[in-house]
Amino acid sequence: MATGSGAAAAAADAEEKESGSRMITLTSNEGKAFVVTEASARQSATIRSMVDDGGCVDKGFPLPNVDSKTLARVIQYCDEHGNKEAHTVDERAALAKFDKDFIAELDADKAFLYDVTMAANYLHIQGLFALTTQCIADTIKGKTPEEIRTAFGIEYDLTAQDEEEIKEEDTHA
Amino acid sequence: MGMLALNRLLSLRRDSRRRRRHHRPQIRARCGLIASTGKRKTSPCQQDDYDGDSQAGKIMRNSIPDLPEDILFRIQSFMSMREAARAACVSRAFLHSWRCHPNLIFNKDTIGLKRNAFGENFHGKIGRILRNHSGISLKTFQLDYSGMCGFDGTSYLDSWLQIALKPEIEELTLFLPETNKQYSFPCSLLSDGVRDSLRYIKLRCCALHPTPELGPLRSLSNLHLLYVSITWAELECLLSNSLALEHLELNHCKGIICLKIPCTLQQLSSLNVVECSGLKVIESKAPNLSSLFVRGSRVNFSLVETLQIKKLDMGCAICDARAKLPSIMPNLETLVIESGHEMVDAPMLPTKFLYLKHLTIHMITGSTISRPYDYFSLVTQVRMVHESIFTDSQLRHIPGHRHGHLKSVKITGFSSAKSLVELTCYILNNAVSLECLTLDTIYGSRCDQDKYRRCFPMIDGVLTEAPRGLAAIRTYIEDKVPSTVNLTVLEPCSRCHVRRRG
Repeated sequence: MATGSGAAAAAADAEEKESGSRMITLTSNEGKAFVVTEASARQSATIRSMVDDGGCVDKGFPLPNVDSKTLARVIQYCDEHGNKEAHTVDERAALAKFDKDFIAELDADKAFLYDVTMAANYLHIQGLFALTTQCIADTIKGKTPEEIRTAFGIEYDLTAQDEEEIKEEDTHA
Repeated sequence: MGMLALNRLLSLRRDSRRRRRHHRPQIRARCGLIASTGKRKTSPCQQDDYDGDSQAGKIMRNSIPDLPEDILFRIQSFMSMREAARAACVSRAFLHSWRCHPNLIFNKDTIGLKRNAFGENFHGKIGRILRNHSGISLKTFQLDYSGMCGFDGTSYLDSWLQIALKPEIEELTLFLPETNKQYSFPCSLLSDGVRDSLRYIKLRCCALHPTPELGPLRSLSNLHLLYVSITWAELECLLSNSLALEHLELNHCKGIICLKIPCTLQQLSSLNVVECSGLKVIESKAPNLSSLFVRGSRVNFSLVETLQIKKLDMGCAICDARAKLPSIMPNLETLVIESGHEMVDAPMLPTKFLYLKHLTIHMITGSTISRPYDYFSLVTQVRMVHESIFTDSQLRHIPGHRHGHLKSVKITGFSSAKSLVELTCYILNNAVSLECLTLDTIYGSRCDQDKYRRCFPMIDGVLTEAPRGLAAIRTYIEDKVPSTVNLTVLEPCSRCHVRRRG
């Protein structure tokens, strides 16, 4: 009896260990498969809830709205935050430095920055979403409307009525 | 099941490419809802932005307005109201996002009032912005009249609050000026939804008359009432409905005669009572009150749950504090005493606070040099009337205890008072772990830290004494400072404290 329950506990342990090191396949909209650790995939609240609901871990997760280039970059973030510890001051500092370099690189290519922002939003990767949206906000701060349009390639599309309203609110009118 | 969630994500796909393109450089050049930075470029033609830019096509593919609304809202939440307002004339998406900006903060800086502006400018701007705001997702509404004299917007407040007080609002600040007719806060606007979300209320210069019918404010954790007309019975209605309250401040609320915090306020951790001149009794049964700040009222500590108090800031005599507090508040970690009536011959009992980490003593002496007080008595019971170090330079030495944990000491209003020099020397001799010693010959905030960019004004007596204080430091203290201690000596400000001549 005692041996039996011990074996069951060991099996449960083994299963738990296995689930910790389980690999999960994410497939981009171009059909490219990315194999990641479960810890990395769990950075995404969307995937996390699907895994916890006993969803299709074996079949993998197709991500029809994320292209390969974006997914690779998102996974880079998830790997760093999911697979590494952040208990000590040094570990947290290393992670902060990773974030800083990661976002600096993204910031150089605004279009790609938006793709990553959208993917972070869709996949509910909270840390990454906060990082990219803060970066976009920082770029906007202190710029005139013209500068913002130029920096982000935004079309001027205000209607006559919008303009009228803006003029009304304009404190310098 | 998993695919369902992903399909739902797909449906969030952007609804792009339905925006029209206009060429109106003359409008673009003068956009700027709120105060402009003055850096605006002069009307570059639209074509200039894109001509010859081979990157433009690529960037356009994924420019910001194409991001879903919720992402744009999130980006704007990282921006101040001014920045968001300025960005509103970038495009329709930005304009729409500005209409839903979560924080509306109206004060003289965000509105950008000109020097000679009058009340109607301020109120007109606020009214227009509020009318155009959707009211949706508004989290913070602040109206602050600081630094604006003679503005009276009480006639507009009801209609503004009707727009602002919608479910989801979390923070309400009405920092009103003193007006002839006091504004009465409309408690009826605190609807069920508003009471659910409101976390923070700060009111100044208004009347607040909640009735027993007011329902529960389930999220309210911060309540600050300054110069508010309210009776205890009314405040009791409010408190009994605010069981999540953590911080309560009552500042110059003259109508409150007694304050009896019930034990049902389990979350209440800090209580500030400042100059409520009518207040006769302060009673608190709040079990987790850890910080107490009192000015202008006497506290009978037998009516207050004190064992859990860790921070106390109050006006009282130093001798009283030493005699009574250690037994009443054995867990005190931070003690700030403001003393205006120190008795020279009061008995000084040896006392010990076992957990004290920060001690600040403010002596209100009118003029630092005219009032006799033996500062040295803070460590010993030897008494001696104030006397300048230059009159009698024989320093008293007391074999003291070693203060193994004291790391930082700051003495402001440092004068040549002999007992003050003795106290400093005592600290240098006995605080073996001391790292910083700051001696400031004046007191109060300095212009580089003050929001009004002015030093706290000094009376002439202090400024006359300052050079003597400095000389005392040079002569009696500097050579006693060990190399492990960083000594900072601060003189009167060369800009704000220029003495009148003659």
